[in-house]
Amino acid sequence: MRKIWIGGLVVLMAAGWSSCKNMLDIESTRAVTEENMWATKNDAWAGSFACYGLLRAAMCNENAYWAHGELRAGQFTITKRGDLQAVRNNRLTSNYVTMDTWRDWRKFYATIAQCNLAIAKLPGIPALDERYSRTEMELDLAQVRYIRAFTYFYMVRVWGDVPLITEVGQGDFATLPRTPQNEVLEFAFNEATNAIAKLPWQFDGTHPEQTGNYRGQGISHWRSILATKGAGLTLQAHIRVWQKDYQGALDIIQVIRDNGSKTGYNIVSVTDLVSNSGTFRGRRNENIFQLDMNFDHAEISTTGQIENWTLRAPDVSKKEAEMYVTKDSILNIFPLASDLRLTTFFTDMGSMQPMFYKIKMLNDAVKNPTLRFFNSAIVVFRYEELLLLQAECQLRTGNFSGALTLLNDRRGNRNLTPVLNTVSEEQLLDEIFRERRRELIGEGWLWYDLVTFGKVPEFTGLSQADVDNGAIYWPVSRAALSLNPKLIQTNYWK
Amino acid sequence: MTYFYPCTRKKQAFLLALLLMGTGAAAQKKVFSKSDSTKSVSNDATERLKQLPVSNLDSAGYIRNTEMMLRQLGATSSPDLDQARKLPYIGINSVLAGRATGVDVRIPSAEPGKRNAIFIRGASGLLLKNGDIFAAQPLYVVDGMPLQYDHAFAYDIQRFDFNRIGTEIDPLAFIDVNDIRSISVLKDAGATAKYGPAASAGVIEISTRGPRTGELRVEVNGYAGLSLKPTLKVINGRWERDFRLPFYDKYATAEQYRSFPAYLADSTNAQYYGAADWDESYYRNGLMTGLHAGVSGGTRLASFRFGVGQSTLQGQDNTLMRRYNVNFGINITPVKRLDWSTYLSAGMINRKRNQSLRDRMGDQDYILNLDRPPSPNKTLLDEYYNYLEEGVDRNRNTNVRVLNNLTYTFSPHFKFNSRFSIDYGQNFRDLFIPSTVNDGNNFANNFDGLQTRMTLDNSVEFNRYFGKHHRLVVTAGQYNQWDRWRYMYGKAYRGKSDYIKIYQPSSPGDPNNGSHNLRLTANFKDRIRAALASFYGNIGYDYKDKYSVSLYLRQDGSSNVTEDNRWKMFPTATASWNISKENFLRESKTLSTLRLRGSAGRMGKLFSLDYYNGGPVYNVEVGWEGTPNLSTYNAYPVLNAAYELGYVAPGIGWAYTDQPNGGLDFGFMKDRIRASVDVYARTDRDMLLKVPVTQEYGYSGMWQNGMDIRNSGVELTLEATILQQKDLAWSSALNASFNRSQLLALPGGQQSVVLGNRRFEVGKPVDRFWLLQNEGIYATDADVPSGMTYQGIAMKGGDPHWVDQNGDNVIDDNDRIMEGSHNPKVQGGWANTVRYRNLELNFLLSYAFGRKLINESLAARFDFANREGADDIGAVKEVFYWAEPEGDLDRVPRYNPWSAVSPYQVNQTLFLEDASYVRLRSVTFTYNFRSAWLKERGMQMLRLYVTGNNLLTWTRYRGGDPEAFSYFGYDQGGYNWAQPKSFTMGFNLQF
Repeated sequence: MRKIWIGGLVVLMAAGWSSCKNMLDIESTRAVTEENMWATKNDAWAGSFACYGLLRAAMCNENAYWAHGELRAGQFTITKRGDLQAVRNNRLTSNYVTMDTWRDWRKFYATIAQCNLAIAKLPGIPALDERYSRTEMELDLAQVRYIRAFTYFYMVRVWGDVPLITEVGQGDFATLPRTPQNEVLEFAFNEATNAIAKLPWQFDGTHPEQTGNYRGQGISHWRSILATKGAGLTLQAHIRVWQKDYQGALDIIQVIRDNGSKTGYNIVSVTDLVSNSGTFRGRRNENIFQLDMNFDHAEISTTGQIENWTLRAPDVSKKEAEMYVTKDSILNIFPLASDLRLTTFFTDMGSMQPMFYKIKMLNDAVKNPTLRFFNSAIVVFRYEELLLLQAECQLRTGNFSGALTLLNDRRGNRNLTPVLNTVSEEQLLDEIFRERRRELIGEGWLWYDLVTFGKVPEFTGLSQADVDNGAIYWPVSRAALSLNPKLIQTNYWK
Repeated sequence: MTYFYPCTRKKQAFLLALLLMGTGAAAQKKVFSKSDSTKSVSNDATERLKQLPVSNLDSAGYIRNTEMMLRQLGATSSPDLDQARKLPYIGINSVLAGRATGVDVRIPSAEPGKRNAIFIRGASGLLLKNGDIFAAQPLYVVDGMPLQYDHAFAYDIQRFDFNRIGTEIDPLAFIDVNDIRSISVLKDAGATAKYGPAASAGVIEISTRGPRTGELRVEVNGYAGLSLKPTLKVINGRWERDFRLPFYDKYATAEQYRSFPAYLADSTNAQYYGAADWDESYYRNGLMTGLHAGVSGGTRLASFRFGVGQSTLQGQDNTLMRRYNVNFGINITPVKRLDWSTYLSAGMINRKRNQSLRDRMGDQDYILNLDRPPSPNKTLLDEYYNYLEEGVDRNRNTNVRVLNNLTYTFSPHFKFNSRFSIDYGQNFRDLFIPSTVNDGNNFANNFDGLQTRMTLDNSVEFNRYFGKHHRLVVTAGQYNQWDRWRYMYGKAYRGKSDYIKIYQPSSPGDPNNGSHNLRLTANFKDRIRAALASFYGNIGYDYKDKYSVSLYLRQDGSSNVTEDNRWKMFPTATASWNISKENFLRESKTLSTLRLRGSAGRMGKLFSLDYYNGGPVYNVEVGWEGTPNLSTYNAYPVLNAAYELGYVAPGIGWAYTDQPNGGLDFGFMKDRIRASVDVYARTDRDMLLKVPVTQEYGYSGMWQNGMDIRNSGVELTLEATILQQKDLAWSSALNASFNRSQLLALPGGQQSVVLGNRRFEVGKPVDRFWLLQNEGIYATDADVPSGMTYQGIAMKGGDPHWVDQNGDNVIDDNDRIMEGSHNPKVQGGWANTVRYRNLELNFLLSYAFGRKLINESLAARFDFANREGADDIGAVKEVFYWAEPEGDLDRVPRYNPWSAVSPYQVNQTLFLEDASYVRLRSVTFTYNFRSAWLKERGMQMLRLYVTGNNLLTWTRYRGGDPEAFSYFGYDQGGYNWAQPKSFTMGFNLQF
């Protein structure tokens, strides 16, 4: 009997010891390690699309896209929020949590880092996974290059000189100084060129760069959501305009216009522009590049869209919106009563605070009463914008009549009387600016337009000296400065 | 890689085992029954039991293996359980407050059954967010079985950092105080090393009343009582208007006047200007009851104990906690020399939670319309409660623990012990918020959490006396632990009807079928596994009970450490010298005990997350502020390098704790006066910290070893039997703990780091607030020093005068000072027991000095300009907003609340206040029936008692209860419920 017990105990003990075998090799089910990533087609898909996702996240974070591009221009009036008011008044060093977010470029650099990583890793995957063809890899790679180029362009517009990082970090987090913005823009331009070479005009399977269905989906799934030749060229045109190389920009825009049959780009009616299935739902021909949100994919959110700041009762349950355009401003911006946009972009004009109603993407499933989940895409480039950009470039390169025709086409489309050919060149440029302002209100353009049209002193409290001193840029965040001693704060914000 | 033996240092481990085995030989029987010579005498629970009136002394049984586990070396502290048992305590932590030395009990909210925390000898590690509290908790050991604690990982999918999704039920509330024989708080390495790396933050060692040999004995314990409604100064809109108007008169622009809140502007509005009587519904006299019964008995070959209990606790805001628990223990000796014990324990806790708006918005990750606060009117509050009655909020935790222990005694000096345990917990919540109280959209969610821990411990032990005086004890063993936490969480917005309180998502093609639109539902699943494997050996030597030394060596391997660094050796040495047994003191009349103790050890620290074992990781992080959980782009899943989680440096190794401890125990006049002093310095080394790194690589930081934090301090206890007569006895015990923490090193040799709103500097304490220093107000523009800016914004009249510490005329983070801490400089308690014949009076005062708190709710009151109607969780007003703010309102200067410098920001010395206190935590009157009287009636013990809790508090703190504040030292007013005043009466009966 005793032997049985002893034997039993020995077995017990042995069980304990031998169970150590492999018990400590537990892989996390919550995160993927380096060695398990970038090996298969799925890794490639997820890793490359993460670039789009991260860019969207950076732009949506505390509505950064509008804080950067719209608020500073001052056409929106703030109701209560001190942080928004501070941006509007160019007090960009104020102490608000959100202000820290807007000053901070880390999320944009996360996009860059992911792009750098994908560019380094994607070419190796076809050899590891035969389901992932070289052509598909080239296509994904080109998109990633486009996102990297766009992100750098975006950052230059916001911060001016930014450190140019094009390689994967080695974990040493080496500090780099700010690179002169022209160098960054040239890099972005060349990257865009590289991308354009491998990108199709559309993801409809009819172009040599992309055949068949891309990732199993047809053009209706991808239209205007992915990087295309057109998106790349539009980006290049904007880079050239920012560099004041208008002829360069014009040449690029011409390429897009010449390939109209391939791009499919088209103008949009005001009705479609503001409709629930329109521009801000996207996947449409007037959009050149959009960062997508989509109710059907449950890519919806309570924060991150301009609606979060502009909508109010009865559309969402709050009495007052964070910001609105005053009636005076509306009438000032849209002086002609015939303008179709006047009644569609705004509502409740009789009240103290009209509601900005151009973007109001609430799916029927979240209406009455509203559940605040918005699904408007961030429309980065659209055709109307490109046409007005072309008009600007034509005018600046001496083609007065071409610019006038383009502008009057746009005006006609919005039911405005044409600008007469008796106006001076300066007046015409101003009219182009004003048309851009009307058409693109709330889409995050006005601040950059003020910069490129040289109208910052006219519209804000900043002087030309301030502008020359770097006031058009955002200050570099305190966190970034303290972590990288090689960074020097923009002069104006010192 | 296979780990049959430790893969590194195999040779050393083998040699160690040989050494341990080889030295073992014959043993000595008395070893276990006699009290250990290294034990701190004044803290000894058995000693204390001896001081108690005879009738209170119950001869409880025990689980047999506990004698092996509970031999204590080193610094321990045991609260007086006999008193605590009379008090209406649900969780273990409340028992320890003021009763155990070196323990800091934190109960941020006295909501019945809600999770709380304790820290032993200061927090080990940085506490930056609520999720950090979990891993800083001590190890709870019940009868030698290490309990599994909740895991913080569900916070990952949450937007707001207050409640973790799930039930938030106190995981220690399962254990009924009536089932506990003793509690010891183990503090130094000498005491805790045997529990391995999970014990690096200290151990709460609980020994339950187990099977007992002898005649069948029944015990019944019961109590009932009331917690009292607090009195407070309720207000309505008029008060708030009168409070705000002076600011408007002085500073407001026309535009700001225009946005004066409508609900305050109209004084004819009965909703806000009517009766302020919400407190009548919100607060109540809460009922508390408890009933517990136990049966025990048996023979030497088989004995058992069975216990069953129930308790209920009501709180304010309709909260309620109800607990049921059952315990069963059995000791049998199936064959000679084999002892077999099995202990089974099961419990269930249901909790009705608070109904605050903030918590509900947090639950649904959605901010409701904040245009108007709730009304101060009782009728409207009742209406709100009635609407919520249509909803569902079920919170239930269930827990089952099984412990199985086999001991085989080969010979009197050679024993084998095998212990196996399973701890299984389920954590279930079902929530439905009807559309009537939720801006017209209902919300449903459910959380199903599961956690299991399995442990296996096998050991052999040799005991032997060499000659007459040399005793040697050698133990060698092996320990395995498997942990698993998982949860499933689902939520659904906007169901079709309030009648359907569950959710069934529609199919993708047809949004009209099902109860909810598929796109408005979300499901989450997550799990973490961890394993620990250890080999240990102990060698102890004792000479004449005068000198004893012991060396404990342990080789631990953890699945959460990178493979190359996985195994590490952790040694602990203890020694004690019983000076009073030396000849020169033996005859001393005054000094009856004098003992010197010392221990020094290094123990591993476990990582709670499984991210760190393989270098940089990839994760899904394409969400943003307010929308954290997006996982796709255009319907395609994404996976990115973990920029938000942080860069995990390759080769992460063990963090560990070094702790030397020295102690001195005194006993005077035959131990009628006993004192003990412990001095320690616990250094948590090589801890992981996510340090901010150059932002241009996208990472929010880098996880790296290398943070060292030291907690050092002194602990004193003084106990005296002041009177010891037949009819009158008086004993008194005072304890005090001093602790200070210091940051010794940061990863990569950094000297300081800013994390959130705190700054950490090497050489400075880690628990300081980081504040701007106030020095009044700039009354007019002329008072502002020329060019003075606040982060580039020119300061004006009406702005705060903050001290420009570095004199650069710019107020910014460089002018913040590290000042004040919520960790008290000294804390403890003073307990007294006075007995007159059969009547006994006991009271406990607990105290904390040198604690400072930030009165955040007061700051929020003044910061109305930024918070009124803002679409932000910080702007939520609850019904308890309608009480006069707690704090010294006159002391706060009237700044311009609309100023861009944010004059009423929370982190400034203006809101920092001393929150030292002395509190009469409990008073108990007990009547013990005489044993002769009882014997005639066949009873062994009967006592009746009345208790009062939290009856008096002395404090200079003006912000309300000095113990009700968040884990980080912020008093959030109505969210931090004070522990209520309460009275109970009850009885203990044994027959």
